[in-house]
Amino acid sequence: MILKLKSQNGSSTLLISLLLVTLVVFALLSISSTASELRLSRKNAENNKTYYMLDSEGKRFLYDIKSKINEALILSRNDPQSFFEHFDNLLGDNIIRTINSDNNTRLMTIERNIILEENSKRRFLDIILTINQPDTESSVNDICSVEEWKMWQEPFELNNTIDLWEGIP
Amino acid sequence: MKSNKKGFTLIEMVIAIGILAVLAVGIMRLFLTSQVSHQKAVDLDYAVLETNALIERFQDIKGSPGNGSSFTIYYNDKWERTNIIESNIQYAIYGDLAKLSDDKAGLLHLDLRVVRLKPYILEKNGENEIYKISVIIEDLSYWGEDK
Repeated sequence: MILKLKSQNGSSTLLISLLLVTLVVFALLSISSTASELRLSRKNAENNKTYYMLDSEGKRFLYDIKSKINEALILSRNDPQSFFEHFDNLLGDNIIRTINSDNNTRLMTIERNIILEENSKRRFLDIILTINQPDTESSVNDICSVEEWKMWQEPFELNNTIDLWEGIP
Repeated sequence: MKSNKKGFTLIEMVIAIGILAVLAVGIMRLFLTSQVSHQKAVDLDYAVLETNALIERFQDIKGSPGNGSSFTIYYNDKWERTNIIESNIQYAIYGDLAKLSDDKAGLLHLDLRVVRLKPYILEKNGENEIYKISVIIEDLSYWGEDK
């Protein structure tokens, strides 16, 4: 049996109420969506700042090395073969380096890892520089080259501490 | 002859329209808040893109990028570069380039500040700072000759 409404009193109120509820629901959904969009944009901006912060630290390190190369070049101007001895003394003990000798030419490799911790996340900048044997006419940029300038983030580690059933009865 | 059909009185109509108007204003504000959030997200994304492009450009300058210089770049509402004469300027990037310190003359300090010059809807602030970044730039021409 089909029941029919005999009176139409209040139907317009019902329609308006439903319309308002629908509008409020869509407005709230829209706010939630744009709020997460803004959150993502802010995160991207923060990541970008961190990237350039690390890059700037790397630039400072590179500048320090180039300053020392320049000093060593001045000290060894008359005897380029003594460049690496002077440079090695100027670098001190804190900088990791290796010297490779091949016949008459020598090559120094300098490595540096810069770590930046922000919001409990660690970011790394790995720098590898090579310094070639100079001659009497060499300038800083002629002998110093950047082999690696790699920025990376701490990798995600799989949580394998959960006690899972291995299928053995 | 008396009619059986009853209409609304004026007071009932005024009250009904009043209630609907208040609710409509509330719902409009929700949509406008959402619109402002969206605009802020878009502005921040563009600000990051534009500042990155500027930083990379400064880092690639083969000669000296200059010391102690300031500059301003203007954009319209679609984030297209425009000049100061145009009337639809909506965003600006203020930049300052200076020597980092006297003992580090080959390094330059670049400060960039992105500002929205017109207020967002529902907000009163005339100038909104969208994004700010400071970076160190190497003067590639510095070690080119003997120092």
